[in-house]
Amino acid sequence: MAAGLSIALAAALAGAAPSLSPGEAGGGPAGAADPCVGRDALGRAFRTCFDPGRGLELSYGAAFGGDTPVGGGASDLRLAWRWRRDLFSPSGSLEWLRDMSFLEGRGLFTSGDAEPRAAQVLLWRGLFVRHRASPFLLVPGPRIRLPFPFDVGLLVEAGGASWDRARPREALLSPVRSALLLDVGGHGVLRRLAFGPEVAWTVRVSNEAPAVHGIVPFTAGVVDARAESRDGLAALAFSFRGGSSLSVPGGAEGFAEATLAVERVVFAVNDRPFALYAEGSLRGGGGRGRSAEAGVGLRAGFGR
Amino acid sequence: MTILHALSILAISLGQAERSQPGPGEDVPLASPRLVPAEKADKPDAQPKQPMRVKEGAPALQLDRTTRCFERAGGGKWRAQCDATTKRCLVAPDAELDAEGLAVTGLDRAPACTVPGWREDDLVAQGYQMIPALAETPPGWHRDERQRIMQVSFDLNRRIWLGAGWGAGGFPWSGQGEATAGVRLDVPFHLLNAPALARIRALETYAAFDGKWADFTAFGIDASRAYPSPLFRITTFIGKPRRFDPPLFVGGWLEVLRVETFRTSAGWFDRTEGGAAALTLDLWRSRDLASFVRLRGGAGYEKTTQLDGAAWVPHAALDLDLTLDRGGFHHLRLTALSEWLSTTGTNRYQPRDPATPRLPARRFRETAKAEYEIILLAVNDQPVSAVLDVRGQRRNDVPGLSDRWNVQGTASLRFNLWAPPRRDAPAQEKL
Repeated sequence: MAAGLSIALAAALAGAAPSLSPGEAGGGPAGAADPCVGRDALGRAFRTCFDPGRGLELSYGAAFGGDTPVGGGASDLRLAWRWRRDLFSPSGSLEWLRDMSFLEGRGLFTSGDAEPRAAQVLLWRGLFVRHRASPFLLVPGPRIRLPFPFDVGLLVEAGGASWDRARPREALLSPVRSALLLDVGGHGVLRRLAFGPEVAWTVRVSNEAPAVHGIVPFTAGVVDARAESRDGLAALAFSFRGGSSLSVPGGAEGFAEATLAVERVVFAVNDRPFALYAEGSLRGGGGRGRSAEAGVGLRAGFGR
Repeated sequence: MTILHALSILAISLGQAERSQPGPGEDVPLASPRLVPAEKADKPDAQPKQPMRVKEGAPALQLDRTTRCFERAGGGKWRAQCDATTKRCLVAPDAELDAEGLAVTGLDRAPACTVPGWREDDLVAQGYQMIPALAETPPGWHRDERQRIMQVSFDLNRRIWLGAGWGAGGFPWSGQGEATAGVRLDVPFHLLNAPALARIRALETYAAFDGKWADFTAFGIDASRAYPSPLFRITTFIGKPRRFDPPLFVGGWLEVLRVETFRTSAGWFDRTEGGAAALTLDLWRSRDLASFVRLRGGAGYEKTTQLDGAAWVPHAALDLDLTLDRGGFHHLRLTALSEWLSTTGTNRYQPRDPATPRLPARRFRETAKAEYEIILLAVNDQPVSAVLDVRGQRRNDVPGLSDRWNVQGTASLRFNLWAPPRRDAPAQEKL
């Protein structure tokens, strides 16, 4: 049912695609040869570049693993609205990399009867990196300028929540998570290669027990890497979080989680790209023991 | 003369040359420098025969005037602004320089120079004087002698911050490290043909490192307006008639979803304020409305997990937010807040657990906070600030917490992202 719904929605959105004329796809001047517009033997135009950081993203696939909630296989439905707009200075040099996503959601269902197994939602994620061709550290009073090897940035997540059928009367809320990022990515094909300390606050709420607060007071680290081909057809992302979280009541406990994801656009309908994705993740600690998960599926992008 | 040349001269006449002050009806013709079709040098490694260092005290080109590419006999990339009236040209290197004064890269935050440009030899022949200068700099930024640009004015009212510090004092959670994060955004707008300012706060978070205290505000906004005419005025007729305009500037204040959670000797106390609204009265504010001294009065609604019922909470406050210097490096903030709880529900907002002592019928919270923030340094134009604050609170709405004043002092560092130049930042006039 979920699959049918997603396909119907994808078809409806794809059907509303605007007509394409040369110059539209890459934002280049009308009439100029646009590297993002291809033409067939009959001269008909079609888009060949996409921005994987923008637009509505709808994914449907399968997730596998030995533990709940993906044990035995589960249907995996995801939704995200992504926004990306980098800023350039008047002289044309890159100043800001800005990636945001709104209302990221994921639902895991038992294949066949669509019984929900787990759900996750995140209202907002923002990732901002300030780029300088020659990074520096400035002492403002005497205006002493010292070389600094990194771009700097912040990752902010707000309004996160997750639920798992294994603990049906319990939910994990994540009001705020933020990380200071030092980036060495260079911002070409490797859009981001950043690391830094993390601060986070979570609350585990339950109908049957008092709330358990979790604090990560810069006692965890983040690694975030993302590479995208110049035409946006392929993307590779890696993220890692690990360190110590303090549960109250409870105590400090270590946790680590890592995710590697790859995506490749394989076809487009009315210039709306459809990509195959594969993803693997490992988790450990955090009161849940170790788990591993893998998933594959099809992802439709609207407005990329 | 080509059309391009004619347009260029027209552009100079209209946009670049500063006009002298003519008398009434007097039309002063401006002599324009002769334009030559010098192409902009597109070789970034084009080096001059002599280094292009900018000397201390050199004037800066202005952003609101046209800058043309400039050819000099000695080579190199140059840009110039010429004044046909004074016959002076400000000439700056069109590149960032290395320590030896040689071009290393293009200018940052400066528009490309206009072509066709000028040749020095032509202008000198016409009697123009060449003044060594610094390239244009946007307001709030500074170029050094190598023309490298850096931000020197910071608007901490537009930022995302992430910080950590240490607090010491009498609260149960004092003596711990503290993490803080949040978003601030000032949005100027016009309301009924008068300038106004909305001050947005979002995701403001303070949390103790030991997990026993957290204070989170999802969203808050207040708005004030520069009234073109006073709400009322007083005229006195004792002696010479005089008019007084009392500084009554009314605004609004709103807060949505604040969660305060901490642990006392009686256990956890999780208070959720669904929302609060208030009217504000600015006793003083700066011209740009960013700094103010303000009275605030309103009410909110709250519930607490450990208490039955809910409470309406009228409040009165004095808020002060001052930016103490033009560069935005020093900030002083102060809040004195009184809240009175008007309880509702059958159990009148009392502890659910019968073993917990009952709270008094008349409940209050009195809070005072003074905060001084100073920018210490900037990393890639993103400021790092130090915050010293003193907080005091007296309240009788929490089981297990003393109703005497508790005080805590906190010192912290914040990394601030964005913080663009202040809206009233001046442009650099000289090196």
